[in-house]
Amino acid sequence: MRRADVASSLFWMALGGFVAWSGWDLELGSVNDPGSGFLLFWVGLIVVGLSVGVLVSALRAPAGPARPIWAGARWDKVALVLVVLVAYGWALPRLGFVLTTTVVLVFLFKVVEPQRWSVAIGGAVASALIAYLVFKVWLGAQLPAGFLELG
Amino acid sequence: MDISRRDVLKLGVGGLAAGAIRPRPAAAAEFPAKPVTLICPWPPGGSTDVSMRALAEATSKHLGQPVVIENKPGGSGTVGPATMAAAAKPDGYTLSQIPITVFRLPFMIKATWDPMKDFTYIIHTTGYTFGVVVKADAPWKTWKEFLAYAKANPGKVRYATPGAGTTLHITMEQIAHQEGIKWTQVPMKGGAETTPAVLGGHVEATADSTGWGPQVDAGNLRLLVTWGAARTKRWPNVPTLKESGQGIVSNSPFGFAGPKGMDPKVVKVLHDAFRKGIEEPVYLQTLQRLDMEPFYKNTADYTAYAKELAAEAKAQVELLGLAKKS
Amino acid sequence: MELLQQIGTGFAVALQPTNLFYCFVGVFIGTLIGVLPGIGPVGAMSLLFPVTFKATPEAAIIMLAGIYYGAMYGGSTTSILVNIPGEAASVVTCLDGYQMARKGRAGPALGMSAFGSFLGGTASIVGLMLLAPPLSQFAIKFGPAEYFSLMVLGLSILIYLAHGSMAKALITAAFGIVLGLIGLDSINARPRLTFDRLELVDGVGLVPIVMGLFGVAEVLLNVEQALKREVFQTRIRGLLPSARDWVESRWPIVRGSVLGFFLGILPGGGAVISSFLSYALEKRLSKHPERFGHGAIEGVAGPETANNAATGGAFIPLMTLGVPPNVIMALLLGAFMVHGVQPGPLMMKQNPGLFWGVIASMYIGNLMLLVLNLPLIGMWVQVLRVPYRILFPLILLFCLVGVYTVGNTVFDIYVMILFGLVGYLMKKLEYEPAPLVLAFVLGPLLENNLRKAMILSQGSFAIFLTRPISAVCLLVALFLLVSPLVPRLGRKREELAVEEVS
Repeated sequence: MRRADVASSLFWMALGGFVAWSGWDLELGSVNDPGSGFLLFWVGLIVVGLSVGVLVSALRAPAGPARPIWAGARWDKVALVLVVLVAYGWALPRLGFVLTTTVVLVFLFKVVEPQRWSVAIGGAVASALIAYLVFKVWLGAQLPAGFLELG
Repeated sequence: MDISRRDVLKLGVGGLAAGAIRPRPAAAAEFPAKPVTLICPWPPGGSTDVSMRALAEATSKHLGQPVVIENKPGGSGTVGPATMAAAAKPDGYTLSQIPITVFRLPFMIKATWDPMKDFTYIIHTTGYTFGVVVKADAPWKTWKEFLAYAKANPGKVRYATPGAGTTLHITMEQIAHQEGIKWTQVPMKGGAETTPAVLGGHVEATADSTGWGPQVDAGNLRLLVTWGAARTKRWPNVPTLKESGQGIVSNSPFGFAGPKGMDPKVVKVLHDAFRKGIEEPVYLQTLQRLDMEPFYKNTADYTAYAKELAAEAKAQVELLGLAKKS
Repeated sequence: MELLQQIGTGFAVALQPTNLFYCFVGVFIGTLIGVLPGIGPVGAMSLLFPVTFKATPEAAIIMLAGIYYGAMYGGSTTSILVNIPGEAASVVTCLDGYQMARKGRAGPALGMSAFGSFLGGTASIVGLMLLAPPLSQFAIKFGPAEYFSLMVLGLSILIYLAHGSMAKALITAAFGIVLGLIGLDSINARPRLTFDRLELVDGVGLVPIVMGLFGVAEVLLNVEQALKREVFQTRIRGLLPSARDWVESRWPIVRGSVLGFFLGILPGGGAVISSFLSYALEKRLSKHPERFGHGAIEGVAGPETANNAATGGAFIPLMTLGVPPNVIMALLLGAFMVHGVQPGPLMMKQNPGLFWGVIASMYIGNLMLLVLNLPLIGMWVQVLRVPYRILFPLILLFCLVGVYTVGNTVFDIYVMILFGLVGYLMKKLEYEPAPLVLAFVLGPLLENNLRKAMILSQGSFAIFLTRPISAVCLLVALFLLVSPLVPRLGRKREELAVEEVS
């Protein structure tokens, strides 16, 4: 039994079921005017079918994964990076581009794989300003100004 | 603290950003004291975007401050106005283009905005040119012949539109309703597909804005009817729907609005500036090239017109069975 | 003879100093935005749009066109260096290009993609000159039935993108189709799977998905390991493709040019399909398909040639029918109109100088791009020498800014993060992201055209078989699906064996 495949196939089965149900709910229509749910319904059913296939072969497979997929994984760091990225999205319209970018970069330089303060702050400020210069000033992209109105 | 931060920034960006540091929002008396942001809820480069950029340039002169276009496309042109209604201060510095879908969509889906309550309407400016074309070698020489054929052969005529629920679709179905015709809409994805569809003989006709223009001029397509209030300058021989007895004028008009609760003095300043802007030759030329028409209404008229548009949209949506459930 | 004269007129226009200057500005900006993720040619062209009000029509169009094909040139750079595809057409380049970079062969990968782009771009301009009018007739023959069958053909190549389990590849593809269908139904404007979120009404963006699945997921996979071990081999092996690389790449380049040019003519996803199709074709024809996905140069040369060849093809519907096959061409259409020129069947007669001048400028622009890009390779390769612990925050910044500038919305940032996590888990659980992207692009087109075809035929499936182009596409798809099954049974075991060892 391959645990990872069992878990993922169950997930797909649920998702496929949901999609097929949504398709049904949106109506399948008729042959001369297929409805909004037509393709969703069939694709959902196909996903369910395929995931059953994956599940069966996972259950039959020899016990235990050949190499544990989480071996040596620092998943706490992965989670940390994800949280920082979400925080970036939250702060961007509130604090503005330059400030948010600088703070987040300092954090990434410092926390995930610690650098010296000089490298972290210098690198963060320089990167944020270069990004601002290239995207905002040269290319005229619309970046949020934030409460400081540095936009 | 404030000063030093600015200085650091100036050093860092070499003064390039200096112009970007804006003064604080001002009271209505000295409006406008900083650039006005005008949201374009369509992607850059489309006809609406191009016309708005031309108008922004023309209006800036009269407003005394730049009008900056910000593109916020999505939701058939409703994401921009909806975001503005929800998030922007009613200080006159954030405005949005109001496409017709703002009135129509709330009847079709659960929307976050109410077109009657969430906006301060400022000025109505523009409409599009729509028309129906068939292949040049098609048997129908006039709109009347085409309608007669469609009526005599229910279900035979298939017409392409740039999408279901668009003004094109809804107007064609209104015509069908009036004339007792049954024809089949084939919704294409935007204008790029409708012209080839009729050229390649995949459908009998196409109802769209003037993307078909060059093919009509080249003699590959025949323009049967246009939908404006008057005949077009470019094709003066082609009749309008109105004079053909359908009594419909359909041009998907649009104007500009801000969030609810704006100071009437600010509204007046904005209205007057845009009013002068839409008379600038730069803007009028651009409109003509894009086959759009000036369609001016002042603040009070636009506000009343908005009510009409919403009522009309509701009736159309219900007629076509597109209304949201519950 | 007449043609030669017209081409002469074209070069006379394109070689005027002002126009040369605008051409250079265009390709230079194009390269820059091609390298930067997110802000694509559409964004840059619309920003420079007002600038062109003051230029002559020739100069304006030459510059805007330069941005377009210049961006295609630069698009492969980040795919190869840091696994960030700027747009869908460079997703396939990630598969082998990035693996080449990790093995210290970023130079040859970048070099081959530059040469391939040049050759594909040039070939498609020749095609544009010689074949534009007849091909416009070919393009309008494509109705819903033909498109549906072409999409079936496109999806049938999924089978060549799968490395391990076929069932898993098909699941991710199905997931891609579902994602593609989110938003307002293009037939009747009903919202599907939008969960009453306004942001989802227009569907999920392609850029946030690909940047998440490839760029962010790759960073997460590397961060998960202790960063002492370097991600890239620092010993750089060669800056330019070797003689052997050329031998391996010459036929992929030829095939990629032809594929790209013809598929580029068709609206909707031409460049994307051509790059995926080219990859599948090279894998199918290769004597060593097991090398694909581990740094095979053919997997870079073919698709990169194809997506650049598609840029030339895309001009045909615009300049001969007046119909823009994609958003970028719609923007160019706007530029033509603002300058009082109406692209379409009459343009060749009414504005020969402009028509041929723009085409000639594309020759020159392609040459400029090659000269501009080759020296840059040395610089790009140096980027990989930066230690990964310093590089990864910058890669993330790149993704964040890029994805924000596409739609100016924070929602896209969240979508990208979500797909970063999805991509990370998929890699862990041995699912492939590439089929998802292909299906995401083709799925909605498949559905839309199927439904349109059924409306047109009043419910008869015969429409797909009685129309010749459609029938041919379906036959080729059938062949692609069935042919590998017989010899594949034997080969598949070898492939799997190789993968377990590596």
